[in-house]
Amino acid sequence: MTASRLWVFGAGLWLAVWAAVALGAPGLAPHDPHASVGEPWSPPGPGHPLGTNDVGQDLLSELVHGARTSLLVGGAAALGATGLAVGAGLASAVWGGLWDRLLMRLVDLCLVVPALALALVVAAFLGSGVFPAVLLLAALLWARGARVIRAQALAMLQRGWVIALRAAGARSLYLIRAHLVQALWPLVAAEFVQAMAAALTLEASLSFLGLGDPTVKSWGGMLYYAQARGAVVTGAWLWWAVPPGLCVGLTVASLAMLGFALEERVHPALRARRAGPAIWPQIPADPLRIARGVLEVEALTVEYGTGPAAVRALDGVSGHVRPGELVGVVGPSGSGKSTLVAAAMGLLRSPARVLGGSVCVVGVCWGSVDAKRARQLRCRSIALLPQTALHAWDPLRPVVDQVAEAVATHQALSRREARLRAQAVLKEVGFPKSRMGAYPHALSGGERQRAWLAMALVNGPDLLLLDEPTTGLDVLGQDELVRLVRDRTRVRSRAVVVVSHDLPTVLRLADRIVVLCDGRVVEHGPPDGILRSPEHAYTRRVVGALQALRGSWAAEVVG
Amino acid sequence: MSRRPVVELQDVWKAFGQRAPVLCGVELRVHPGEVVGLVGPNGAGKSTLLWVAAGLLPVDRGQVLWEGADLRAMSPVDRARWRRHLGYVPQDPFDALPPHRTVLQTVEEPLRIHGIRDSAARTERVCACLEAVGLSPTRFLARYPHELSGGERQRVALARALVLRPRCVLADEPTSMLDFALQVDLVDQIRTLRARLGTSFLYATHDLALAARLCDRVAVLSGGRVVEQGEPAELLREPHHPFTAALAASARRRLGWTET
Repeated sequence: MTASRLWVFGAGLWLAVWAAVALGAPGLAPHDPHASVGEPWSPPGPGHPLGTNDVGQDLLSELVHGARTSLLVGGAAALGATGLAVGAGLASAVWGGLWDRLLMRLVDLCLVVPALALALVVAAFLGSGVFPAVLLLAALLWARGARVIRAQALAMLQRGWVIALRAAGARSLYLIRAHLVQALWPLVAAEFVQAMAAALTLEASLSFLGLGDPTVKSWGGMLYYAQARGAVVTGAWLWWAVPPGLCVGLTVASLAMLGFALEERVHPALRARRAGPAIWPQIPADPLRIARGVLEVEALTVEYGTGPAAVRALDGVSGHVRPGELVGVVGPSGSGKSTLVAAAMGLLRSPARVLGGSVCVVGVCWGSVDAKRARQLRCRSIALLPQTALHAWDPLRPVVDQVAEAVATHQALSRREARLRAQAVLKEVGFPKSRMGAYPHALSGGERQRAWLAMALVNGPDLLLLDEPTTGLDVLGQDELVRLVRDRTRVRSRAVVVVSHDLPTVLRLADRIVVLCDGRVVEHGPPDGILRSPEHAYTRRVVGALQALRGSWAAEVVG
Repeated sequence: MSRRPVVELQDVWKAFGQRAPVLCGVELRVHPGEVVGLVGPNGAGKSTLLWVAAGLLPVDRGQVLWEGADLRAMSPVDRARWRRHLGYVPQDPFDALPPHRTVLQTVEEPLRIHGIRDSAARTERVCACLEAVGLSPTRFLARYPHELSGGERQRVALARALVLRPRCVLADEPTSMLDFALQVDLVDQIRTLRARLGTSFLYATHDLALAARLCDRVAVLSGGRVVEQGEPAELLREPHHPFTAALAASARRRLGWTET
């Protein structure tokens, strides 16, 4: 069990114990909490493990009965708040329009009004008691959840499969019942836990301020009396105020911990951040080794996970790229292309494990350099045009600034010089001059792709790595990209590798093609050779598809 | 064509908020049994047009007709009922299927929506559809989306679109995110299905070469307008609109014929 799991387990245990105590309070408490059963102000002793209060009531019994009220009020208020949040959030997202505007203004209102101040006023009106407290807390706490659930439901309604169902005749109520509630369930659970933590805190605060029901024992009420009857100045606070204070604090902390754990389950991205860089096997340094190319991959074997569930992504892949070459790597999805790209960039992270082999860039092998040198290599020696190039921009700054930053980070240049360099390279890749100051959202897909290309080329890398560069581009954009890579990149970069599942694009670009299938290099050679006599089953299939398209096109045009 | 078009758009305009309109007076007809290609670059309004045609977005001006019936004149209940004649295939294979449902549950869902209660009958229809799209029911019925490849997912999405035996399937670039060989496979599958079932398709794509292999007629969409339509052969031989010419030239280079 990892440290964080241990914490979550501890939090769960604490809550479970107190839930049990609250349920069995009448049996568990040694005394009636309302009866004077001992000397007033007695410190902890044999009869009274936590001592007694100013009228001789047993404090342990009070604490045990107090758990009942506090957890009941907290739980019921959280249930009410979550129910309201789910109802309002879903209605707002699904029906939209006037509903949405009304409900969201109400949410805004609830969020801007200071909760405690409002609670004080309303509590004074409603009077004390468990039921008014639950109502009040639920009304205060639903708004945040409603907003979160609305946002998530809106995102879900845009999913392809939801649109397909709506087109096929699914009505809104059906979608809510059959899909949304189920899909949002983990989020709702996390919201419930967070609402409960907030409700407990608020309930304790209200009681502490004297707005609780004096006839019902609660943790907040104990704190109120401890303070009001002078326990804080006498030293009795140690057994009167500290235990309920600790109970409130630890319970809220436990709920928060559980909430975080649930949130991590809902958003796996929060979990992935903990992954560290993959470890490379040590290879003996060979001072006499001469680099054959800008990129050398030797018998590289990479697995994901361990034991019987391990998946071998790369299985003894070897190859190299010489200066001046444009190499294409083709393969179906799942063939190990992405793993190869990550390995070439030295960006493999756990759960990936390198079982054997090496990857060297301009003669320097990943795993043998520290983080700083690795960053230098990643920019000056090997640069990546990522698959996400269309979206991987800081939306708040013009692209030219972002390209200039890439220069300034790696080279000792003034801001002005960096900017000039950035503009020069942007111009080289055909980025329109009039758009230099534009923000990313204002650019077309093709323009963003060009800007990324400029970013990758701006430091003059030895090798440029293009990862599925045509993804998300239409045929016009693809065409432009091919020409750009063929005609413009070689000025700034000594070699280029294109990794793609799109055979037609790679055929147009590459001097040499490597076919990757099931983690192995199954075939390699010049484009002509691959096209004329494909050997491996996969290669035959893609080449066949291309020939089929050519055939039907020719038939159409000739008639 | 003698019969009424299954889906017809007449002078359709659509804008989102205050921004420039996405569709500016679109005219488009899909006749029974016809495969119409909707070809245009990213941002031309292809997806918006399909949503409008599916009645999922209200139009600002103009009319959408389903077999001659004006959508706006139909009650919500009638519209929902008529949708049994529509199928829709989304673009992204990783977004096309509900992650928490098996293939059987996914494909049978439109049948459930339209009140077919007999579960044996539903399963039978699902099996027939899976076979029609080239997936073996015994292997796939119980699988979840994460256990399927991209191509398999799109086939399941196609099976779901076909399960009600619709008159028209709206496909929003279903192949654009697939491996090249799979793109051609899926397009061929759709050709076979059309021949067997007589379903019409409105097939959005940016690739004129794929459209030429699949479609009876191609409508070129640019800047929210249908700038040219006709048989693929005509468009390829003598494109009238410069934009069609550009698409044809790109597609030609992509196939590796002219290299400049």
